[in-house]
Amino acid sequence: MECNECKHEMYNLFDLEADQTLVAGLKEHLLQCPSCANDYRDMENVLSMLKPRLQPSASFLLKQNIINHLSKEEHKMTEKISKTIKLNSATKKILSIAAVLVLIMLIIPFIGKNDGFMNSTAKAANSFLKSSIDATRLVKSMVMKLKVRTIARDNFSLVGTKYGMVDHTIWKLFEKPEKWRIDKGERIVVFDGKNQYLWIPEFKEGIKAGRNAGFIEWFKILIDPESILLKEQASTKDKDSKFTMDEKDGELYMTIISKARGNFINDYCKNKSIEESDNRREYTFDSNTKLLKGLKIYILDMEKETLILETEKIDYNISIDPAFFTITLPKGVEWKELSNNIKSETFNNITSKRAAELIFDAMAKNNWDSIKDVWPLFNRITMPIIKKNYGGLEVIKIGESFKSGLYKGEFVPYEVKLPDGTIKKHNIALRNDNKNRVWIVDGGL
Amino acid sequence: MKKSTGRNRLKEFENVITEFQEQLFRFAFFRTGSLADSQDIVQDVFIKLYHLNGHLSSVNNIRYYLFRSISNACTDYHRKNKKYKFEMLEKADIPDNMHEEEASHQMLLVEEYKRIEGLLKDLPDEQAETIRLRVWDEMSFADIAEIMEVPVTTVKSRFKYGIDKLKSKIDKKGEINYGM
Repeated sequence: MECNECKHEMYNLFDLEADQTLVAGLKEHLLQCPSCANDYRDMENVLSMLKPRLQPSASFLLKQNIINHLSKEEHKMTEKISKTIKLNSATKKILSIAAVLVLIMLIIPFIGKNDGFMNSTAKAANSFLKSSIDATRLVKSMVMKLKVRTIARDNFSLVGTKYGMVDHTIWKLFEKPEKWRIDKGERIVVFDGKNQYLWIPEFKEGIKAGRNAGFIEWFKILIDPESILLKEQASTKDKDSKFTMDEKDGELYMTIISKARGNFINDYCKNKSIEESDNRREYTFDSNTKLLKGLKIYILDMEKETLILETEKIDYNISIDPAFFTITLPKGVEWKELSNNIKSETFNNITSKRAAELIFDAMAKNNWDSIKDVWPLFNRITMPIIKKNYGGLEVIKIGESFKSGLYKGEFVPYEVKLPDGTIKKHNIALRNDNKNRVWIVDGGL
Repeated sequence: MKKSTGRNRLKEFENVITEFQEQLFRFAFFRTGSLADSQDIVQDVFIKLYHLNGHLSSVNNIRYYLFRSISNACTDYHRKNKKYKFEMLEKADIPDNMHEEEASHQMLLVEEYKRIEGLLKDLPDEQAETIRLRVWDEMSFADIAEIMEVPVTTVKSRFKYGIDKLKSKIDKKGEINYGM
């Protein structure tokens, strides 16, 4: 090959499907010709400058949003078809009853369902919430006592209609730097203005993370009444929410009914948190101060409603001991820093199902070293328990992964025979929403 | 994709989203520089694809269809946002509740987008797009030809002329002005 031809055809070396004979000829010439080799290197340099050093990843919500949107459309279509069928077969009598029902619905006062335009109730709610937000901005401190149907040592977002009520207390200083503490007995999180600290006394587990760590999950909204109100103000524009408002004896009552949020093609997470449930939220405000006085949240499941969260008392602008915003660990226990920079050569660029297969296979072989990267959320107390219960298990079946609700990770169904002979069927929760997209175990064992 | 109905159809479609969402999202991001807008663009394109059910047999290759659609949507995006583009990039909307490392990763991504766009800004659009498809989206010249709906020879010459121009830009200035 001549230099002219090589220079003219050189770009073919950067094609993924180039003619291999041509590529071989070009490479042979490059080995013999320093001038062309130099040109090739220049071309390589240009291309490497153009190559992104960082790659964005689609949000975990992208697929979920699309599926939710399409599910809603499908649902509307089905409704439309079924309505058409009913109308075609309806008698005049049914039509007249329907007309009366429409009239009744039109005259029911103060109940609003938004349909793109804000109705009068939504407007009134929006306006009241605005004044309440302004009032809340002047608050300097708050102590909120509440009860939540949950498990005392479990995640803050976990709720369930079958759990008992657990006492929670929230302390909050609003002046900069903001500080707060939330305590549910067996799980405490403190924010000292810089970092969040999670303390689980039962497991002697102390975890330190940055200011935006997700330790308190959905509860973060409760530590900040302003964000509750802003969120509800946004709900006034949500066509899937319904409002009622009433005022008596110096108090204003506002009720908002919302649909569960999340992807429920698989409903595993349905009703496992307030946001993932159809729910009714009842707010009580002081009409004069406009401050929130009380909140009750009910989960609505198959027409049955269960009280899930109830505030007992909210005090504003009272003095709080600064010691509340630090946690002193017992002797011998140190804060473990939670990093988003989890590294693993094995557990990135694979599916969650494959990650689960590797994890269970390693547990079966007691090869814990090969899966050491997947346990950053487990500690020296919990890891030995996992090893004891699962080491040497027998894998019966690993199923197809699925997403559910608002969970950022994926669930992989598994069936295993534990060393003690019991058969366990459950879903392992794996997530890879960390910087390096490494799958880690988040629960389900 | 074969025609199916209701829940099954949605389930099948979920697999299509899983297969293409990351590539399409990257594709959109490196053409808009906005994570949020890229998400919207990809979402809209998938929804349109879903509505093509029954007509999908006429779409010979979903992959080409998706990339072509995202490419068109990004062109529309630039047409609409031309005068606001600079401000949008500067503001790089970072939600308050975003994890610190995630927020800084997002800022770095926008910087990276600006850096590479600065390199390509003097090239004719079709040459720049050919280079983007080859280098960023790792497509063969044959794939690029399908997406741009031009002959492979045209793709090759656009790539060659584009790279030559960038090389001479470097030779002339000794270094590239990133346009920042």
